[in-house]
Amino acid sequence: MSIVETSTIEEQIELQDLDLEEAGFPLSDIPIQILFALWGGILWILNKLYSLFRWFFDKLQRIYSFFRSPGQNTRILTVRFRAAAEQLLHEMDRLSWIQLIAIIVVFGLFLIAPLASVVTGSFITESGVSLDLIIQLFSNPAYVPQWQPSNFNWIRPTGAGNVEIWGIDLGVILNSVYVAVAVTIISVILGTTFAFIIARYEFPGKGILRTLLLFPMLSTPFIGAIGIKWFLNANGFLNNWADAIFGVFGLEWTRFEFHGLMAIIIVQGFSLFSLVYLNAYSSFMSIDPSLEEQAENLGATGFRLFRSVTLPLAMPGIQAGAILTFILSIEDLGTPIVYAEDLQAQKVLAFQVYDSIVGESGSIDPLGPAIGMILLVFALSGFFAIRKYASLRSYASGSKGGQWNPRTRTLRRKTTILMYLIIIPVLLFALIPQISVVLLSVVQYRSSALFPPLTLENYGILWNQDIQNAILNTLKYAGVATFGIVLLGVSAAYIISRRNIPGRTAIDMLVTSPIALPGIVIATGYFTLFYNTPFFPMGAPAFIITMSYMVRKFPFTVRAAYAGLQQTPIALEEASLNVGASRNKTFSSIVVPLIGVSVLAGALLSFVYCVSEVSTSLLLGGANYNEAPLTYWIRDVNQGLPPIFGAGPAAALGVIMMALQMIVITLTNAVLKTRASAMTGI
Amino acid sequence: MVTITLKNLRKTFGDVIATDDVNMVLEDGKLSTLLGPSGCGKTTLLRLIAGFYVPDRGEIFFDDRNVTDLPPNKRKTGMCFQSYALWPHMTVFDNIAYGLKIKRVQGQRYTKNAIHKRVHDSLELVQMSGLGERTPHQLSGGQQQRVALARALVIEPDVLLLDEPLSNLDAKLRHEMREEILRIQSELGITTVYVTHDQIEALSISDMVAVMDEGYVQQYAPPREIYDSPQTLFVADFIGKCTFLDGEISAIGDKLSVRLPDGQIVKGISPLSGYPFEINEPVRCAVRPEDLHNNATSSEDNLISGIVKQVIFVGSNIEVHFNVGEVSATSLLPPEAKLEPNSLVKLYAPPSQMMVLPMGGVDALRKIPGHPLYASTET
Repeated sequence: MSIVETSTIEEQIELQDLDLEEAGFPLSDIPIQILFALWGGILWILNKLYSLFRWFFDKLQRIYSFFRSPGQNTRILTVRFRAAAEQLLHEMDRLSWIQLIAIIVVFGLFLIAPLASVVTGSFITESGVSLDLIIQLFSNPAYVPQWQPSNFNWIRPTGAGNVEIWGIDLGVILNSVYVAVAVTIISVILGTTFAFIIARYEFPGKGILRTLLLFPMLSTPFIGAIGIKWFLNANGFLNNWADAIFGVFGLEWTRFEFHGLMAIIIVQGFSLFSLVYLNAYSSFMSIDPSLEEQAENLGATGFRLFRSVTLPLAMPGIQAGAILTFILSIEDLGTPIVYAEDLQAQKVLAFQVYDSIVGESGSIDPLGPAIGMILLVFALSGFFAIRKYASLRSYASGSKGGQWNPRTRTLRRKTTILMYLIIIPVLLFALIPQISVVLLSVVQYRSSALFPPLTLENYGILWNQDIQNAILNTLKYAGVATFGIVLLGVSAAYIISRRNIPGRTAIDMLVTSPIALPGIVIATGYFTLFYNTPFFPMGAPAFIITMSYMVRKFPFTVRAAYAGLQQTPIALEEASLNVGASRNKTFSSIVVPLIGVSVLAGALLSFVYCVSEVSTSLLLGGANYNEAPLTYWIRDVNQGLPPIFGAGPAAALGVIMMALQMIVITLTNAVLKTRASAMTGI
Repeated sequence: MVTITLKNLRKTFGDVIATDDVNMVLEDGKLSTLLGPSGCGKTTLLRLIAGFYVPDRGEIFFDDRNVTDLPPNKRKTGMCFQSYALWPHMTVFDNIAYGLKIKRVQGQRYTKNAIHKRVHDSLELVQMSGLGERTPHQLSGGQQQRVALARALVIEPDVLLLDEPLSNLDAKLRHEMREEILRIQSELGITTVYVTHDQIEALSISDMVAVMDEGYVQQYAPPREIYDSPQTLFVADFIGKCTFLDGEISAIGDKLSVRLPDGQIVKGISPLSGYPFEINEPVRCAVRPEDLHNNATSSEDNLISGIVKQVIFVGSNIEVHFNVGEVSATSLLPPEAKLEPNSLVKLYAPPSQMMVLPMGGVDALRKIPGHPLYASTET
């Protein structure tokens, strides 16, 4: 110690010169560094996969070890079971029982049973239990990977001198997977970058940027696809402008357009990145500044600080958002439907399930459930991965969010301008789904002028009797469903957070799983299980649509209510019991008022997502279009013939839907602030 | 007003034993304190009395009513939480009135006027008159504490339970609220259970103190007795300061003779009456710093000599830290004593102040016939 204190730097170097090396960074190292980074990335992914398998294997091992000495283990199990039953009886009172049973009945009937029926349906044929359907599926060249050279031909010039960009057809199953992976990568890059900039830098216009970034939350890929298809057309808005601008400089612009799977990637990537953005933003904001300050204190700055401290701390949120994006992409039905005229776009799992069901007659191609089961496997794996990696940690830190002032840095003017130069074009691209839908709704049909004449004609669709009916239906279904969601959601959140009963985690999983379960598979289950029963009479899907909304959009309210409960100390309830109030009285006069605002925000979100629900609406609505909701009609209008129907009027309806969502999202955002876990339902 | 009787209570959380073998009688109208370091099970015990936990075994009686399985809202206890737990969505008035609106007297409820009057009386009791319309976040910590107290008292509970009520207050306010709680408690004469980790607080306000460690009640006695004759080594160490000298019993008689490792023989008495000491049993002698004098008062006094390590002036006295062999010891001497570090010091302790305690904590208590833990040796 004393040597260091008294010696000069030169002396120190002399004493320790064997341990020192050049701190400079030779240029030749860069490729090596990149290789190392790539290798590290691969290792990281492998590691994650490995730990997932380990986890899965451990579970299997536990089941296996049970059967090794069944007698003793059964006894242990009986004792545990009895203790659990006692615990249950002690914790629950009459109200809790009613709440718990209602939740289990609703989810059992309208979530578990349909899914189970899809799974069994894919193993049972007329000839009994068999793998026929699965074998049939995997021996079909359309489903399994095909490697023909023509498939890799993804840039196709057309006769008119344009370029069409297609995806690569690898068979339905692989198509779905690689599209979802590509979408996830786009989303993570866009979402994390935006989130970091917003969370950490202070610059003029930040408020505007933040509001703009909420917009993508509004549009389902379905609505966005309608706009993008027009906007990025060879004769569309973007190409027209690029051509004109290039023309000024005397250059030739090659008009391009996206087709098939590539179009799906573009549309979904731009529409879903907001999920990653919101989760990453909330993660960045909830990092305790002292953790980063400590790292800076030890000498880490800039990228090293980001890589070694900030990013790992934000990782759970980003992972959760990424996995959710993957699931939503793989189950998205809206985009393939909009691009269905490209046969390649039909070659994804979701569309194949949709195609196998003819709504009006209720008849199902037996292959439908089998494909649905593959979707289900992907979705469930994703859901368990989210639960394992992310949600546990976000639970723990969720209640602490917003207690401190997050670190922000004011940028110098030069840096700000540089950032604008990069961000504004990226942002414009990211907002294409929204911009294009709004434009499309007010642009005159078939105009390819640089400044197309504007018109409100498209909004005339609102005076159509069927559309008015559909809007009314939608509000009715969504309203009733939201009412049920609030009743059951608050109960579920209360039981999960306050009642120490066995199987609590299972209930938590059950009520939050719908966020990840493909709507189209659930809807298939409704057809196979309930068609032509009192739940789903022939040609009367109103009840089953409402129930599907209720189950599918349940997690938003549960999460919001749960967040509210986490922020309410249990002592407040105990104080009420202590002065003589019963549990029910405590629930109504202490708990409900305290979490009311959170529940309201969650309920609004649930409502909005009910209104914009696509996959179940399209499938179930097909049973009777008079009872079909708005999204069903948007598809119908989009496929209809101009000028009364067609893309323009469909976009107009999309804009109406977005406006409604905008209002709700602004409200909820004001209430929930950075608690994105409630916003995205994870 | 009731007497609380705890019989053989045990509460575990998973594999952790929070509290075990608790047998106590908390007498009517008395203020009893549960004192101990954090994690000793004192809050668990309080919450068992309040009914927030159900014991794994054992029973709780309020007078002769068995309340073990009674839910918390039927127990008629008034509890003050450590965090105060004031409902943020209600005014001070509503917070206090809440319990009254629920309370039924022979099936009838209080009229609006009665509630009004009672809330105002209770606000007056805690000297908060006129602040009824404020919301909790407009109050200071001390005021919140008062409201919590008023809310617990207004329903006229049989038992008042206070969970570290002063731990969130600053030193001056703590002193003030301590007086306040004492005043209110003696004014109402209500059976009170008070949880704290502050020994000064416990010794100064309690009628009875239960010192707890690792889930067991180590000693339950009036404050003076706790200080003067601690029954376990933990109590001797936790309450006040002690110098400990290890040794072995060399003779048992009117006084116990203990042979120290260096051969010295010290004489002392055991505060544990009835404990079956044996010859050669390892024991520990405990002596308070103020009982080590620099002059012998009688020929019987034990002589303890050591090397002075440090002398600290603490105002009214000097604190001498010295080593007896390998053991470090402390003595409180009058300031005129002249001592230099590294010099030899000879101190005298009268046998009546030299406390001989068996090794082991609760296990030793189990060997005493008549002790509440004696019967419960089965594990």
